[in-house]
Amino acid sequence: MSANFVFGRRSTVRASFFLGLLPVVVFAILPAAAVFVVAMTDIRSLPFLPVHWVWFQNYETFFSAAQIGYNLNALKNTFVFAFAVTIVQNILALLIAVLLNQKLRGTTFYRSVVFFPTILGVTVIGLIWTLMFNPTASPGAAIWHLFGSSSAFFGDPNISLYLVIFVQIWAGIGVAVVIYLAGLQAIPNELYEVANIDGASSWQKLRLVTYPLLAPSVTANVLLCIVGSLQSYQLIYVLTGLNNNATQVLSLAIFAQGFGGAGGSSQSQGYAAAISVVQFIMVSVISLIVMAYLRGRERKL
Amino acid sequence: MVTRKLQLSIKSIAGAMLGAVLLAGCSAGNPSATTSGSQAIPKGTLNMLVSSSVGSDAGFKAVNKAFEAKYPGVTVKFSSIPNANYNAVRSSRLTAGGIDVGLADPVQVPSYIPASNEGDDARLADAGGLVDLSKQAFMTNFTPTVLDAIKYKGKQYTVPTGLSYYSGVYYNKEIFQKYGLQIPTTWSEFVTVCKTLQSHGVVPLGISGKDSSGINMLGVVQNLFPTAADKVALAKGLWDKSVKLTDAKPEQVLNQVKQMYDFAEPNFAGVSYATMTSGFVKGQFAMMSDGTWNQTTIQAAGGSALNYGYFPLPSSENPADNAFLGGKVELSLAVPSNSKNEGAALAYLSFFSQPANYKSFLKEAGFAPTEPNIQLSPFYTSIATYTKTFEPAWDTIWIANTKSGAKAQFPFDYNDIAPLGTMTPQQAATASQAAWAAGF
Amino acid sequence: MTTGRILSYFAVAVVMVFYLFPLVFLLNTALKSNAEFFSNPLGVVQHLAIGNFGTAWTRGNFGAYMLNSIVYTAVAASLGTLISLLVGFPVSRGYMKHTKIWYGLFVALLFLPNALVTQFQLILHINLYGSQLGYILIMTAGIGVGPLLVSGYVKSIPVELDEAAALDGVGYLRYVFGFLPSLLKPVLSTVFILQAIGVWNDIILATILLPDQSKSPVTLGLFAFQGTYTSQWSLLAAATIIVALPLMVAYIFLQRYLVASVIGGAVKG
Repeated sequence: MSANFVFGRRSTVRASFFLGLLPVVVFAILPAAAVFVVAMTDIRSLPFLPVHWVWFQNYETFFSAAQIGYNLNALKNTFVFAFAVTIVQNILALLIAVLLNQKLRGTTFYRSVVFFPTILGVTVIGLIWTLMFNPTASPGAAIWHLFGSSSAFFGDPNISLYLVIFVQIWAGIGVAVVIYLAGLQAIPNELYEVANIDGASSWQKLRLVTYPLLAPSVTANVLLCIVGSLQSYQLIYVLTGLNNNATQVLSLAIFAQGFGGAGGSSQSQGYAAAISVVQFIMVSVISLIVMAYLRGRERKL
Repeated sequence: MVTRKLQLSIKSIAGAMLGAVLLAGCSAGNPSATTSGSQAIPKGTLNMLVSSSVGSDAGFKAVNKAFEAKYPGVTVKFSSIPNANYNAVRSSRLTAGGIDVGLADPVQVPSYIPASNEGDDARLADAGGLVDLSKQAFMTNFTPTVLDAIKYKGKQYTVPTGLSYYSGVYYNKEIFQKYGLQIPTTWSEFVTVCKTLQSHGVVPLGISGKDSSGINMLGVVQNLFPTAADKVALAKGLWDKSVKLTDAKPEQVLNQVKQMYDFAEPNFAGVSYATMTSGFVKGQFAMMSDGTWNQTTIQAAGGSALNYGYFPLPSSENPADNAFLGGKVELSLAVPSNSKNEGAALAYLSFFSQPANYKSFLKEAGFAPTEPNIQLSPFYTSIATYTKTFEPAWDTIWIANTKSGAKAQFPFDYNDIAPLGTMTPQQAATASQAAWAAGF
Repeated sequence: MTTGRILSYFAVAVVMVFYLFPLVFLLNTALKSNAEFFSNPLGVVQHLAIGNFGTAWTRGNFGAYMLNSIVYTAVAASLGTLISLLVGFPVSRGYMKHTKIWYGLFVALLFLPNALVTQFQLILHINLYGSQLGYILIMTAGIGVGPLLVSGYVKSIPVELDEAAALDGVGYLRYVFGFLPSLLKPVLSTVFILQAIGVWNDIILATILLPDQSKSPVTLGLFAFQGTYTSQWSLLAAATIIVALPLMVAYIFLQRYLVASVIGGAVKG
């Protein structure tokens, strides 16, 4: 990467860079850093209450014998959810993006349709699929009936996680497709022309031209997906509620502990912040590993 | 609506914040005297925050309208937030001093339980965040036994807006008549009724697995440990470890819950509250385990065509144990001590408590009255025998150990029993006992 | 048509079914009256209840909220996109030292822990609680994947362009604001739309930071329907369609820029 600045004084770059970064630092990064501080207190959600410095007690509670079963279950569900969503969503999105990048009739319409769920927002998507998978009377129930059985769908602990994964993928493909499309557009046409002259098949073009040059988009999408799915909880909340063991993920547990007021085990917001930190560490580690791998491949390609 | 979620055994409603300072000032100025104290004319903005529910929202709106009509100088800003966001909103507005009248429910923790298990509202009251209403004249409008039930450390911090009962089941009278069934008064009779219905191809019981499955557990506990003293003894026994969740009677709770699951509609684990209600109204099942707060909705949906009633779930073999319904005090209003318009807040509460206004609230909200001498709606009249003595429900007595695992929250682990979960009642009892013990 | 193209159309059809069916189902539900949905939740609507949209509009008070949402989204997403550009471009080119650290920051932006409580406390303490400015600032700061996307895309714009412009006497800022946007249309549109969606669909921060209902965005209008457990599905469905429509329009409009690719031409030159 060239470090030659061609536009004269560097001060302009620096000034504009830091000026742009300022609101982000103040309003996003600082509050996020403050969460680490909050995690070491026993602050509760209401004012007037005394706050104490408890250092790492919240973390001890998280890993304590009483909570560990619940937390391990949440972690397990989180991993299953994140990996399934990331892998399937990216494969499907890439295929769809390639499909829609062709000059078919009505591609604008198709792209809009695929993107539509992203616009709808989580609550609406939750509503749609709750309707679609209502055990008593819904399209989902009708399809199951065709196979001679019925199901509690989101209430069935054996399949609810997979249903949630399905909905998450459905909702997330739109963004991934858009990013892949933008990446596909950046591939110069000449390369395809050259490949055509060389007599390459569609599959070979995909493998040798498209995929390598799409690497940055793949990185971005996979990263986005991992992080998004590790942090996503609102959809799961809407579809299966706050206290469902089968679909309890870490981010939902954070929300439940911090704001849910669930049951008698109302922990403090300090504890919720501590879980946030644990989640952050987990997400960072996984993301960095994945990113290092992907960037390495990017460079090779 | 969502306040009915019984999986939340903490009724995290309302922040009543009363400041001792205010109390001193108040008793001097006697603001609760109804209308014409010249010091007491409220003005300005009154910020009101409640958790959203169809009935109570309509009730509050009716009262607010009348209040504004009476005191033109006051503007009531009424916010009702759905449960999913309610806690976050309440917390932030409280911190910013943006609530004048809100909901609160401080629960006193018995002496044998460490104070660290206090709920947030109790801590709030301890820290002086709620205005003490004990000496307010308008409190005399309410039934003394109800006020006693919600006392916190000897003080009254909240105004009880109504009562709800939820240890019973609605039943479809026509279906019962068709198969010659009587209201069961013992558990065996209940099981027989269910089996009879099943043999005729009728689904006996409607349960909403998704939203309110906990209500079955509460219904069973209610009459297996009939009096408040029994329940308190159970709680104490669990806390001092003389009672285990794997003992006969606690495990019996889970067994009976499982039996109810077996009588419920297929795939009830995924059925939402709305679907269950509409199913009952359409006559898809004979009974429905639910609370009295839903009655106005059922009435509106079914109209005069639906002939229904409500009776206590007879979880005990002894009919005398099954005589009463368990319930709780519904939304309780309180005033935060950092309220910016305490005068108007207290005037509002005073206005609310006047029987005429209170009646207009009840009419919409569908609660049972917390004031004496109020004529009951036909529905509440029909269950008057079951509500003669107010029996608190289990979730108003039970306080969980925050150090224990999540499976010991209620502490009966109904959520893990198939088909909601994957365990048998025995396994669930063992799991919750292990989780409970881990907290000591 | 070649088999390839037939297959393509078939694949597209399959995808469309998976996407259109639930959306059509939502529309179908929105067009039923409450009573009809109650008795027949599954079937095709028999008596169109277009009035649902009108009722939903009034009940949710969408008229008042719509303008708020448009302002918040337009301002926050525009500023956010601007920031992404200002911050992503120089790092991608290496014009800022310590490139690796900045990349690390961009990535860290993605997985910041949920800072609802601390953001609220910040806004409260700088006296912006209840103000639209405070809300917009928080929304602007949610740039998420923007800088990463811009950085990645910028790589496909040859450095020679920068050098050529500099030789012509174009200053840095003029280059970034004047020349780059047209070259970066696809990625800037993407970044804008992504952030716009986040801002438009935000509920929780709006409820916490803007207690005054006159400043509420459109998502809060949905509260009027969310509180109920009764069969208000049809009205709720209608309301959600209303909420989604403006974003849909914005997307269709921006779609054209996503399609255009000027890169090929620039490289040729």
